[in-house]
Amino acid sequence: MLNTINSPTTNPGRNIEMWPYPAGATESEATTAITSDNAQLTEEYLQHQYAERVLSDDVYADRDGSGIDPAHAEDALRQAAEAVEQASAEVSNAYGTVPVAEQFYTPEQNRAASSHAQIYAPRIEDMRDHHLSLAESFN
Amino acid sequence: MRTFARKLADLITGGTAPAGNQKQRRPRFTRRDLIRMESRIGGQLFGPVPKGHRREFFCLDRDTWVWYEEWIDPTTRKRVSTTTRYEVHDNGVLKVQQGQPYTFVEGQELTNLVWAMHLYYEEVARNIYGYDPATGKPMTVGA
Repeated sequence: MLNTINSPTTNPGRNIEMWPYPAGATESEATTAITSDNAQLTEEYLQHQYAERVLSDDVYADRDGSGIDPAHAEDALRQAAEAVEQASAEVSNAYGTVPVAEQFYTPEQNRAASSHAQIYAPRIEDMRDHHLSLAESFN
Repeated sequence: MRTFARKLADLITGGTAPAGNQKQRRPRFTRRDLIRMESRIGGQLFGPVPKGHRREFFCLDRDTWVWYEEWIDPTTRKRVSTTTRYEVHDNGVLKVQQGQPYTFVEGQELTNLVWAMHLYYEEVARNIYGYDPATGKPMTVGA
């Protein structure tokens, strides 16, 4: 959770339209997938917003230059963690709990399957060629 | 594209018979004959074909697979068909359907497609060409 809070890569502006969903999905499947995308992105966004607010106000302020008080920082992080949990609960209530991970295949899985698809056609063509050349040689 | 359409039309309709040689049946198969035999196997890989439907699934060449489905529309009583072309590229499998945007096949659909290709290869290797799909070598009688 702290990794999420401290992650500088959180990008609430990510375009959900670009997220893949199965090309053959029905409209309702696609809608479910996009909804679950929305849920995840919204969750990330809320986490980001809460984390930004808590951390910037309480931890990184250090306005007087005396350094960050470790106890203060710890307290701020605890508040951030609670905020994230609250955000997650809000998102779950709003969208239901669609298991996002089950809706999508990772790019790696898609790449592996695609490379698998390249195996068979050349083998079949070789068998055809061989069959035809054998038949030719018998004539 | 025209080449693909012509190849496909010939395969599905049986094509136009070559001029001449009408009296003599050629004893050996052409590439088209082989593909049509394969297609009969391919059409059965996805389970029972509904009554009144005709389904073809075959490997057209080194980069292209085709799914063709034909049936009678119950309301209009007209014959309708769809052709889906799967182009295998280095960066993915592109799905091409008339009137639809080109899309890369992903997820479960891609898994199913690759599985169908695998089964197709196994079946045609064994049953048409007499090859052991595991070794890629000709099967010997009695082995």
